Amino acid sequence: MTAKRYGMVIDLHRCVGCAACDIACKSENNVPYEFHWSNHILETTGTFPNVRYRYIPTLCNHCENAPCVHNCPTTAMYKSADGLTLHDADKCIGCRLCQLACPYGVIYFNDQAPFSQFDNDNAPAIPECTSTGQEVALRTGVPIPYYNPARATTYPGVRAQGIVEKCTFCDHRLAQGELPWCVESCPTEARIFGDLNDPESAPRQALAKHAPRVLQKEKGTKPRVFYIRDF
Amino acid sequence: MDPNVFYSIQSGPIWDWRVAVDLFAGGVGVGAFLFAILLSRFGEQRYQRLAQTAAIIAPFLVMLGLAFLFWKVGNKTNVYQMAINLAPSSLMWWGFLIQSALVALGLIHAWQWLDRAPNAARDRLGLLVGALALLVGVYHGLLLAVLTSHPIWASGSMVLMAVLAFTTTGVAGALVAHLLRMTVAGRSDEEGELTGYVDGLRPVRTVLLLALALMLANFFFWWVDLSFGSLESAQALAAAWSAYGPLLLLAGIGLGLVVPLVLIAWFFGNAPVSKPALTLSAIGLASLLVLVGGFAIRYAVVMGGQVSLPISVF
Repeated sequence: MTAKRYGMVIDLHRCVGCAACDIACKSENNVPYEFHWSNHILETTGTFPNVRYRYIPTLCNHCENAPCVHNCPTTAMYKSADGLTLHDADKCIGCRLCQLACPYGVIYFNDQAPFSQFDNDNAPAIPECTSTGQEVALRTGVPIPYYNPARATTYPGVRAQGIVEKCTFCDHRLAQGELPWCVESCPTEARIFGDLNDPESAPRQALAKHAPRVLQKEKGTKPRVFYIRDF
Repeated sequence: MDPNVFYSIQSGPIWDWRVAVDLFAGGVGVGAFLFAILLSRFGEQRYQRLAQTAAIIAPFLVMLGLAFLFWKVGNKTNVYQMAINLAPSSLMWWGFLIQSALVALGLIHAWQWLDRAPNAARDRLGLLVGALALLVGVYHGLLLAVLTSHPIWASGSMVLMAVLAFTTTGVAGALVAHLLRMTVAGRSDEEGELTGYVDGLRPVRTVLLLALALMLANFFFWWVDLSFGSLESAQALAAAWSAYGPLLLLAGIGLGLVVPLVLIAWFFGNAPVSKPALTLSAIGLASLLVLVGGFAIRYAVVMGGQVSLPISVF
């Protein structure tokens, strides 16, 4: 039996640009403020009334020929047996060479301490009138900063200051036989995930039916996130 | 009409001025190593003190660069991971190994140079240190050139620029350091009278003139390559130029290449040296400008290569 080779197909005809995948990823993976493991490109072309608008969801492409992996000086970025491009936080020195090597801008560097956004949210918008974000959080007893402990089963739940972080295709969920949370959360089932080595898998079926495209094909990175159709 | 693309990725330069300092100081150190080794093998006795100066400052300059790189690294306590993991596909990993060896052996080489007397062991070690220094100098260019997602960096011109930069700044750094030493500690008897000393430096002048001229030519071909290459490279050049063009042009090329070229050619021309003190001062000034320009070039290249471009979609 051949090893799994995970990949994702994003059906741009189905995608409505709701960004549910972005939000779902943040809550599942405890992704910090202004970091976007799941992200999107907005592209507008033309002039009114002939305007074309495109919404292209992005995430780590888990490239077969991953430049982040090739360039990492400590093997902190590595390819798993099932083809995921993963990051070992214990080995990362924070040199950020992976960020420079990645042509997709999907790797983020923690230059702040974890939860510093929450810790620093202590200035009211209107002095002596409005409450600070920190006050609201503490008085209402909501679990802020939000934390999903499930994330920590395969990767630090909250990444330390001084290292990078990126999408893992929700490897902690894959280990439990579940789909990545962005796939589960998509209201239009625009994200199709599975084993590319299995001819019967949903992504293979979708790729057989529609001509796939990848981001920046000319870079030769062989992404495993494919885009089909268009809006 | 061109598409209007919005893509919110992490802002700011990923590698900042500290990386430019690392490449610059490392380059000066590497060049000084090679200068010392060449002088010790082929130079007259009166230049052995200059070779000594170059050999002693070299490892400390490489260490200075590495100290700035260490300052830049986000997770300093994990740096040992480079020593315990094999990452042969990573150029930075090779750079770590080679530079570690260069610093260690370079310090021993500098120690051996405390005594200027001929030393066969020192000469043998010098060959090894020279080879390592050459590798590190090339590595400084390759480190950027392999990052194909940055068109400003990803070319052979980047490697050639690193080689020429360590040649010019290494010689210039050694000369400035030695002139300072001569000013503070005075000239030694073995260096002889000034006219002969300055006149004997003609081969150094030739190397500097050639390297500076080649750097100018390399910049031109680099600009042509980017301007008339792919759309992405032309956009990258335009973006980098708008942010760091004036610095590169005025400080890097103007002050750092053209003015020293003219100064060295003028004061150190083919005519017999009639005013050696003035010529030596001009060499000192030109060397200082080469160093200032050398840093400006490294800084403009490191920062300019990271000016973000609209991401291409399909």
